[in-house]
Amino acid sequence: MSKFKKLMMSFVLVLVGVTGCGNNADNSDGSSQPADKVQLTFATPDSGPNVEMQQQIVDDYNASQDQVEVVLQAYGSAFDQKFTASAGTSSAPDIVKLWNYSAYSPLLKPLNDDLDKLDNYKDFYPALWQYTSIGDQVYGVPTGWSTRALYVDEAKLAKTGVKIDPNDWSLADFKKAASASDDQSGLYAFYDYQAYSLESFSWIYGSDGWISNDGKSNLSDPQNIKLFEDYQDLIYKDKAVKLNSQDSISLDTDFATGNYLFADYGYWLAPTIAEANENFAVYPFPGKQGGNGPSVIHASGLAVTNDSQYPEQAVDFINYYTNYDNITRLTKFEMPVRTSVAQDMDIAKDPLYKPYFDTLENSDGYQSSMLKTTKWGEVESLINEMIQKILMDETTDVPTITSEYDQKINEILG
Amino acid sequence: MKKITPYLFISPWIIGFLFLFLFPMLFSLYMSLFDWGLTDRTFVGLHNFITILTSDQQFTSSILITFKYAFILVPLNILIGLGLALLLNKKVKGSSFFKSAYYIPTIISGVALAFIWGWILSDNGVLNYGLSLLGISGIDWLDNTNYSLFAVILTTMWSNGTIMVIFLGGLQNIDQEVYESCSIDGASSLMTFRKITLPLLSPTILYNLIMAIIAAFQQITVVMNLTGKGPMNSTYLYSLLVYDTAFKMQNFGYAAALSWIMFGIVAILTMIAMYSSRKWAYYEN
Repeated sequence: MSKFKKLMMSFVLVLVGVTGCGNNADNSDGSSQPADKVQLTFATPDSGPNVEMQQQIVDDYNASQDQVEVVLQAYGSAFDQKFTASAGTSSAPDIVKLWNYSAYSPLLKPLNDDLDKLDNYKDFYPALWQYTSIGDQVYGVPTGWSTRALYVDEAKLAKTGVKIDPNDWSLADFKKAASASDDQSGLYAFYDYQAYSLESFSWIYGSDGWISNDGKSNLSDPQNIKLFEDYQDLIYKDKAVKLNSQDSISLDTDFATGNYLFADYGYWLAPTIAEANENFAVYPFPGKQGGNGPSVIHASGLAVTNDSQYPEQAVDFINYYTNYDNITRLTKFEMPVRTSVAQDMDIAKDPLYKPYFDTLENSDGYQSSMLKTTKWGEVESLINEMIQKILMDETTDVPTITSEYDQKINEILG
Repeated sequence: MKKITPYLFISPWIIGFLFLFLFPMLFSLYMSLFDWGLTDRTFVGLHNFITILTSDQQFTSSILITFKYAFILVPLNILIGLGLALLLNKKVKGSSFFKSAYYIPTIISGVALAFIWGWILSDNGVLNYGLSLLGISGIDWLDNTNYSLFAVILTTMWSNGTIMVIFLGGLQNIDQEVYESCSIDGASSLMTFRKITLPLLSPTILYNLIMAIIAAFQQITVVMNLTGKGPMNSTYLYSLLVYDTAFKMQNFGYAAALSWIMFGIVAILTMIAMYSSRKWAYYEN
């Protein structure tokens, strides 16, 4: 027998041995399931206690089903790698929880025809749907969200002498209060701001955002130039800003100890800081001339992938996951996506959360640039780079650099 | 059956090599010739390679940062690993404890390592607090363009226990009779180290050097969790660029081309090390 034949025979023997160790009929817990039971996989990017809650919802759903079983897969921080790798081999999970609909919409089934099957889909906050949709196609059912608002230390605000009505204040009030501190404690900001997050201010200044409504790069819009120049002034002229990295975030400890006046952030750290700092409050963004401004929305939702063999069952699970009871359960970890849940739990009246709900309503109709292009990954990377150059170098000439990056981005947008 | 048995024993490795290593490697080469997105792919030939080498400014920047990182980290890792191995090779009380103590950081995952050092090096971290007690104002290690790369180097250097252990093995393989002869001939410690230890340890140095170069160019876990791209992209190492291109921009063909260029660079550096070792590595046979 030739060496090649021996080698091939060895391969076959080992492969048979290895595959013999597997048994598709068994579940991971050792139990077996009927051969005709439909199995759906549900991938989540979450980790920790949030996943435990999701597992409970999945378990409850499975207990109510004879023919369907959902298996939760916690991808955690490796979500992007795992999801794209599985999609590349046409074995993507049936259901995914995600926020980046701009990048992943080509892998997802439009759900427009399924919305009526949802338990009163009009109960969802309307602004959330635009973040799980691309154009007219709805790809995801919202499950959680946060807008951005301003963390405020009211004791520090009182020291500035600037009187602010949180429900009616202007950019001028904001700048006046922040610049009153010349020890870098007026505003806790990020030098590596995600373009996605900072776009709220672009809107407040009166711009269409980073990408105009006709699909062109809009960084040189006079309102955006004004925004960046104001930031440079706050940092270098007024010396009112501390620049931090989002990777080494210490915002919670810095606010808990009353070190800063303002920070622009989601609701995520607010409850912890409020427990530690009695002067802590959350204000909705100021409006350009008064009132309150809009914000981008950090929204996540459940979607069905194109690879799913059982889209109807997947929609049924999504309907279960987002029903009134489960959205109520999820409020431990997510802001409620249903108006009825927010009302019944009185959460929208809580001073800590109210600014986020008010901002959510203010933000309906503002479209994030992320949703204006399918090449947002490349575009955002360039805008992030430009923002850093502006914020970290006082010699950067804003009109010149915005024009340079407009050119680069327009080449990508085509 | 008797003749098949040896092949049976090696076949799991060969299957693993073929399916988990060779196939993905060749497939990535195939991918590098395409504009390969999430759902669509277009054959573009060598266009990705040409773009990278002629007009991608981030490629140039990341390559330079990675070279800087490697050229500082690799010699430091070798010198510190060798120094520790020399100390631990002495037959003194408690050396087993120190061997374990220096090796333990190696078994900690890169993510945990990054979190620990992030806590130490952050603006309000342990290191700056310690410095403030001495009346020294701290440095913003992670958020300052001048220091952030050194923060990454410091963190990765902390887990160089593997290099130390390999050096220790190399030192313990040196025949004690050679040292005894030196001693009888009246050679000083420094001369013994220079004329005996270093030459006899040179194959181990070569091995550690090549492994350290490869590890430096592949570094991603620590940098991703410690500083990310860093202020003004000052810690945007090459592997992180490949990751971002693939998984944040969904440009898999371009990322595959970047990976193959990295493979080429590491292969060239390895060949230089191997070639130059003819002049400084000593083999008994």
